[in-house]
Amino acid sequence: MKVETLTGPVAPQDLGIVAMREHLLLGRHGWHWAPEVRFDRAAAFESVLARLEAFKKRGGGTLVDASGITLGRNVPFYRRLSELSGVHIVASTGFGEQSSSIPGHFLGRAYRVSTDARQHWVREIPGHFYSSHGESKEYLMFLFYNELTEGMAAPCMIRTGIKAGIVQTGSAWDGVSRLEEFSIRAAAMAARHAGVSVITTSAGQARRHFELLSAEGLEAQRIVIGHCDDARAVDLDRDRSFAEKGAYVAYDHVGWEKDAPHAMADDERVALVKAMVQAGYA
Amino acid sequence: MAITVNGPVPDDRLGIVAAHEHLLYGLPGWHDDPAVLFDRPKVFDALLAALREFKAAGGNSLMDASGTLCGRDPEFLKALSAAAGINIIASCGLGAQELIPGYFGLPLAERALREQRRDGEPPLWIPDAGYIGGMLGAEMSDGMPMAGMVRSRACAGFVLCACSAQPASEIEEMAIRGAAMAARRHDVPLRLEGGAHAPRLFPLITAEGLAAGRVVIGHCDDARCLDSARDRELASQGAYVAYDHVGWQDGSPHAMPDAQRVQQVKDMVAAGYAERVLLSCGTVGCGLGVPASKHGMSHLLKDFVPRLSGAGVGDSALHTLLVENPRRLFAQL
Amino acid sequence: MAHLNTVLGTLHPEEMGITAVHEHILFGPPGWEADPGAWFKMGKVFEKCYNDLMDFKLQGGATFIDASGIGSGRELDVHIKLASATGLHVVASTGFLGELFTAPHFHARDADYFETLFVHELTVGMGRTRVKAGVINAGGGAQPMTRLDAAQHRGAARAARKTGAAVMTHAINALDEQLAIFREEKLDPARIILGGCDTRLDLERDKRVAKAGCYVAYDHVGLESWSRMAHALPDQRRAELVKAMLDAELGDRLIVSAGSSGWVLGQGEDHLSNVGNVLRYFVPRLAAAGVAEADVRRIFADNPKRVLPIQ
Repeated sequence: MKVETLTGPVAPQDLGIVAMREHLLLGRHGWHWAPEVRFDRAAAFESVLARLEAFKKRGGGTLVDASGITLGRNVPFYRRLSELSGVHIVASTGFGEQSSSIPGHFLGRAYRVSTDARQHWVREIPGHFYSSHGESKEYLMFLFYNELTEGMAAPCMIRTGIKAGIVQTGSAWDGVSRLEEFSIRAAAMAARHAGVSVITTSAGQARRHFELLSAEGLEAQRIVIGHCDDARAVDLDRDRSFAEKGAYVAYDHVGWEKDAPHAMADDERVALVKAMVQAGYA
Repeated sequence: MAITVNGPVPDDRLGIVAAHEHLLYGLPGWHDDPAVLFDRPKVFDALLAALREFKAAGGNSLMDASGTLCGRDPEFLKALSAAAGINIIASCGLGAQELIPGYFGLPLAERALREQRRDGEPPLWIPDAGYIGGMLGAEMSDGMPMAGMVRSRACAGFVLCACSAQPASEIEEMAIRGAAMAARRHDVPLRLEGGAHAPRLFPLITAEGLAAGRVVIGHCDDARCLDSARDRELASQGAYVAYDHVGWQDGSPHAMPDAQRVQQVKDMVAAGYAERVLLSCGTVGCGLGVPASKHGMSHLLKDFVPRLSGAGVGDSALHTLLVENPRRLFAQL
Repeated sequence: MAHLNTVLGTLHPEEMGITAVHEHILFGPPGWEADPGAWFKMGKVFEKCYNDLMDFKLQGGATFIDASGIGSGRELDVHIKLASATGLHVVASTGFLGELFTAPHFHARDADYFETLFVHELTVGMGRTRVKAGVINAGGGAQPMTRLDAAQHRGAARAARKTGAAVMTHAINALDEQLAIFREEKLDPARIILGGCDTRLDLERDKRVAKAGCYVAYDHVGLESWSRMAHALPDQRRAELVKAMLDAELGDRLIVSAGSSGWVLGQGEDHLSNVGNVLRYFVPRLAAAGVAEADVRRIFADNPKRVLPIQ
């Protein structure tokens, strides 16, 4: 059972120290249409490479990019960075919060997908028919599943042969919209069929996320509840209950100590980790 | 009948014709130059104003001599003509050597390479005079090509050719003969700008079967090669002699004071060749990478014609120069 | 920081991979658009170019330099669409390919003018776009060099010094005059790619210029004896040239490319050579001639990575 990285499958025991949630490039979907946003690819490559090399030097082995499909993921860019730095990079499929990561194409009323327009890359999943409705969990399940098993999509209708290794999912802070619910359920179904894990974002709805993922049959050991160190939603009881069930709890904003609503001092994170370790949930 | 950009107009409805002007003018390749800006609406406005001034002065038609390659924009000309109420007769043709881009010259260079080629290999296609003739003819029957590989519905109404080299280079000769073929086949006028070479090239043109009465020898008021004997000789053979840079009085090697042109006209009228002379200003309305001319096309009617009057050229002669001669140029022979 | 200007933005040299250094997507002399006899269906030609580029990509190619220069078929919207659709890094160039390929508007110009123009295209954008050129062409071939050719070479050299871009020449028969101009303008030989070294053969010349630091390009791979071109050559001979240069320890200065065109404006499909075939047929030929894999990598990836990025 290997993990799909940008440079190919890697055995879990070879991953080394893993940074479980990072973003190499991050932007809201649509950034590339804004004239004020400049992406100097060469300069970005140089600076991200430097960070990866520093990470490697300090003992880092693997990094999980949690941008999902739409928040700036650039497959050839990531792959080359991985080759050069020697750091394994696991890319993610999936969507996060609707307002920043789910573009209009996936919203709205159901539409028919013509079978002629459908490309050959849609794999069969036993027990499921390829859905003709856009706004459904099955449609999104196939979207994510294909990225995990066939390869991630790249701009201008290219299917790279490089697979995502994990599914990112989540919702807005104060509620789970209809589309976000489909997205979360689809993440669980795709992960289950492909044998990978799901990592969530936005701890405001953490419990609900866990419920939805479990409802679609994803086992707890495949669930990572992310951003449990969001200052606005620190809840050790919640974290312990997830751990009790066998899921993973991620304190994944280490270093975000100020200038953001979710930030808090790293000392508090240390306290959370200690508490979890002491409760037997290391 | 004259083919204007907005369709055929009977020659007796052309009125006063400026026989040689440039609304837009630029050397081939100007659009690749980042420094050349073409503010289309602004230029349209400015040219519309110039045309309205020309009309108010009595003008009714003009012949645009930018040819196929030097900045012509068929749709632009159509809209301008309609808005101003001025007939615009556009031209097709390749111009002098230095204005002909490599596409038309490259195969000739390839021909030189041919000597080095191995036996038995198929020859490269090379455009010749006949090909150019067909290409220009299509501009008159089917419409003028535009950017983006589209043909406009606006057709060209006369043909241009020019010579600057002595003797005419192989490309120029090909272009001239092709122009003559096209002009004959479609029975339209041909304007030759050949300076001192004109007398030598005139028989080349008529050898293709084009009537002398369809040929305009342009720029006979070029200060560098004034030759009244040449003008009379060509006129006697039936061609038109054009003093068509009226108003270009300084700032260029070909310029000379209008007073000299007045004399040229007087001399031709006195010699009995009033029916062989055409007049125009040869202005550049909007220069694309080249300067626009300082004077406008109305200079002909507002400044030069009064001078001619003042010099004793009568109204009847003026009418011949400005109306009858152009009419005959386009009329049935 | 060294970087390549592609039509989709900058690229780090480490992302270049296998590079076709001298190619064309659309190519032809200015003036073709005035002749409807030279017109073509854009959709069909785009498809053909797309297929050629995808073939190159599937053979392992990653970066493609279009050497069409100003007014010679450099259709940037086509380049941009092809780059997006194939995932290849496409680089467009500034400069001119000699008098025949220079439109009349650019004829009566001097070196200063060309320097300004090329610098603009490399640092602000080509024509009126904001898409930057990545390399400077200098062509010609007339011997002796015409005034215009010389002015273009001089302008190219100055622009190269000012911007850090490389210069790629296309007229090996005017080599001595070219090098004299570049020397006068103090252009570093290591910023010069001499194209067409396989059109007029002279191994001693190639060694000499490579030792001086210039890159030697055998960039007409595929143009073999069955072609119409006077400078056709069996690819076996090109492989031998490569081997000889490697044996002379000048492998760091070698560039190999096809000089192909997706579509020749005014002529049609270029059946003579094909960019994908360089990897498909010529690389095995090199291997058969005893060229090590590391050297193949050097020629197709390391050398382009060293010379092409803007320093």
